[in-house]
Amino acid sequence: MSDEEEAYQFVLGTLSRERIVPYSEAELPIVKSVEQCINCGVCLNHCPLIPAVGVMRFPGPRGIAVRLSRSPPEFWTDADVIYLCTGCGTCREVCPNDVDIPSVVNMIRKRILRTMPDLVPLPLHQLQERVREYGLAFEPWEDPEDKADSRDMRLERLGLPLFEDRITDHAEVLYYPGCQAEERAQEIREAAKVILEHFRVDYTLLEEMRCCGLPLELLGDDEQAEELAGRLTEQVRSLGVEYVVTTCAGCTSRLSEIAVSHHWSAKVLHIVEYLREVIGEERVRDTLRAATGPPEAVAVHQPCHLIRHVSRNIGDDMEWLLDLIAPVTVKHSGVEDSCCGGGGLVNHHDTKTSDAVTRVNVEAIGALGVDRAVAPCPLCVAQLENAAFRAGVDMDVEDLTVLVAQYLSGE
Amino acid sequence: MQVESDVVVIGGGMAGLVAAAVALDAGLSVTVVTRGHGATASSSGAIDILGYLPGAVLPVEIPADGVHTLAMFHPWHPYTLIGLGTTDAGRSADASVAQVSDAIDWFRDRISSAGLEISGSVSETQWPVSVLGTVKPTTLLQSSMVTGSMSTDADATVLFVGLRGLPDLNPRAASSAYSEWCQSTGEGPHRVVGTVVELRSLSQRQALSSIEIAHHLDTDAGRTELTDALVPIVNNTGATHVVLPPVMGVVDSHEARESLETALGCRVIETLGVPPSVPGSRLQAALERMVVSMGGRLLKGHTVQDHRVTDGRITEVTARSRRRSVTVSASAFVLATGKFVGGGIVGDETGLREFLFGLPVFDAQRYLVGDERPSHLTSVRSVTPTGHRVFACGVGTDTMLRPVGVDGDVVYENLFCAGAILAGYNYQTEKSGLGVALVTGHTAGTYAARETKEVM
Ligand SMILES: Cc1cc2nc3c(=O)[nH]c(=O)nc-3n(C[C@H](O)[C@H](O)[C@H](O)COP(=O)(O)OP(=O)(O)OC[C@H]3O[C@@H](n4cnc5c(N)ncnc54)[C@H](O)[C@@H]3O)c2cc1C
Ligand code: SF4
Ligand code: SF4
Repeated sequence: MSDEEEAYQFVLGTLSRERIVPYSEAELPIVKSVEQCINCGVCLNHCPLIPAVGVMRFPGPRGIAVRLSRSPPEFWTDADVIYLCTGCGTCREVCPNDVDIPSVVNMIRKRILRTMPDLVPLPLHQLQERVREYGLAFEPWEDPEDKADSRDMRLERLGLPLFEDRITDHAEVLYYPGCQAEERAQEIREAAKVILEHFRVDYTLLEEMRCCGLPLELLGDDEQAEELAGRLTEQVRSLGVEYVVTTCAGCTSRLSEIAVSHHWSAKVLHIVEYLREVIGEERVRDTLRAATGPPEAVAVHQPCHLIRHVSRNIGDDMEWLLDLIAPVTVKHSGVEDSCCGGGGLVNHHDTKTSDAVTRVNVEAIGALGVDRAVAPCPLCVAQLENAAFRAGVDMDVEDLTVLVAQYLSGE
Repeated sequence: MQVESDVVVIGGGMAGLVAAAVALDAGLSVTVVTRGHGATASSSGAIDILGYLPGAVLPVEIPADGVHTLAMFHPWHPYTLIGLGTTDAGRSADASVAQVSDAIDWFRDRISSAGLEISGSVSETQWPVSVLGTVKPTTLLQSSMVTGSMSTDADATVLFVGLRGLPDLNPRAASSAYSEWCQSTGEGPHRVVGTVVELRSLSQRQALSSIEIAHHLDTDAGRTELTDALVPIVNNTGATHVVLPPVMGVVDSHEARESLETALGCRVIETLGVPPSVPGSRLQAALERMVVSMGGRLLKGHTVQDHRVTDGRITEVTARSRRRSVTVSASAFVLATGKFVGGGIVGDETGLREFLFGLPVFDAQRYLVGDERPSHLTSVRSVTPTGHRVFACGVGTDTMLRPVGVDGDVVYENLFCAGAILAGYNYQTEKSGLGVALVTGHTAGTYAARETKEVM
């Protein structure tokens, strides 16, 4: 070991005794973005947590930016607020200087997990364990038959057909359902298959579905997240697919990120984007023209992980798609782009707070009196559904993928 | 991803959104590409057309006259340029005034349809109150800020109200400052008092932000709490005018004002906003609603990074979001990326640059300042009537608001500039920031629409 290296190791040792985790190369741009904060507070006016819980409880994005400038960073004092952020990215979107608060939050959570794990909310530890054990964010079904029964019941209720799973090693598209559609909201996984079959897409599923790693990023376990990313990268490479198609907002943003950091040649697209960009506007229009059924009024919810972590354009794509379905009339709540409160793992350890955020959506959608609300994300759907139930608001929420599949298969 | 549009506007502050709405009015398809919020969202929410002539210490009493004088003596001012774009030098000052006035009339109407009531005109300067109890000259006010009889009625009793937990307005300091102002002008109320009230359901929170109170006052319950707390004090003091911090609703201050006035039986006035400004956010949101409701496509969270030029014309721009990129082609483009807050002009130790097209940067007198260290463009005294030179720096244009190069020639035939990115005016000392953005946005939108129709 050279003198220089020895000195470096010595410093690292000291830092680790002081519970300081040095910034990694990848984290530097995030830290630098905080240096651009001009303390204007515009983000405060838009963070969904402020009206929900107030600045006393949650100092807002600006507060997080300010905290990071403390020296030396004593992140343990932030544990009471840092787990409340839903990671919606609203602050980053309105910020004049692109200060990357959601990534700062992940960075701080990572340090707390490494240096003071006792401060991490228990359900997050359990989630971490679950992913470690099963490779999924949800505990898998014990009995495959129960799982199939649950799926069939859902399909029957929705009037959706069941297609055999396609698993090949030479498809053009990999459909990646994500943990929630794999284990819980199975109707979404099946609905996506209905759509892909309908357009005769040459697709495959993974032999064994593994978590995209977003929950791990959010709880600060970047090492395990990286392992999953590496594994998925190998699979995507060996399959040689051209597209990875998703139905979950969180998976879309996470996989889009991995695609860049791990140099995928495959393109990641949410199924809504895939329909418009790859299947093509004309073909989708011609196909959906045949859709029939009683007229229904629909409210849309745009997931943060699509519109703010990937692109606002996807909000447009959603409207475009729904407009093609004759029986559907879209009604606007005015808060379609407002965070559903389900992100950032907040709903795992503090439903009261996440529900307080969701109240805005539930009230506005409830007041519209629509037949159902749709979102292209299983997490948003579950959060809206559960929060509406807990608030005593009668509201039907469905995944957008399911709605499209229903019209394609003649409801 | 590739999309087409008749007009593309880069930047979604006052200037860009107004330009977009004008082009939409002309029946064109419009895409606004915008990164984050800029200066518009941080502003006080009052639209200054012209508060002071450059270098003057006395305010302008009639904005129309101010603009007229300005247009005669300050050739590089945006108000002057737009007048010169429509008529010859002899009559251009009148043309400037007419354009300012038209833009205001058009705007009052459009923004009202989007749910924000604005009052005021070029014929009178208004004097709203700040959270400090000081007053400043402006032209257009959100209706919740209009002081009306308060500033002239000697028999009025003005009550400044602080909200416990909200540091923004200290009623004791504000009332004494306002009282001093009344004494110095010899006009206005003789009785100015202050009080602090508590909002029942927020009493557990020792620290509050203006936005959470604004959300609260958007609900009936919140308004009732405030009026319950205020009724006894209004009765005791005989207050005729209640001045509140800038928290009168997130979306619609008009409704909040009316409901509070009915319950209290007196006038209720909101002060100008301070960052993080609720009235500024309210203005920004109304502008966005205006464009979306007129059928415009508002692509937020996208930074324009690239462009393509063919034969001196811009043909397309490429913008990046977090994980995608989109290329938009159009016949005409509007550059409304703001100045230092918006990000249109960036500065470092090597000088000032226009971020997107690398256009040269000029000062108020059209001197090239691109290589000047920004700190050399400031004065050691922080507050002076002439202000800091750096705030008047920006892109130079011809009379049609097309950017010019160092030789004075138009760089791109189909690019029109508007708002804070323009050189030639100092919004801080003139009090003309949102006004220039509104008026030049209106003009640039008109030119962009005309350009598109000529190409069609
Ligand atoms: C704190 C403060 C208070 C003020 N108060 C007042 C007041 O009370 N009254 C008044 O009249 N004026 C006020 N002003 C001045 C006034 O706000 C500005 O002059 C005016 O808002 C400028 O509007 P704009 O549309 O030109 O720029 P901005 O509002 O700054 O908008 C520029 C937009 O362009 C976007 N943008 C920049 N670069 C790119 C890119 N590459 N790609 C895509 N988008 C991009 C930005 O994200 C931003 O949305 C104030 C200014 C400040 C800073
Ligand atoms: S990511 Fe969302 S919840 Fe978190 S600080 Fe930003 S705006 Fe607030
Ligand atoms: S909006 Fe951005 S610059 Fe302004 S306070 Fe928030 S993080 Fe800082």
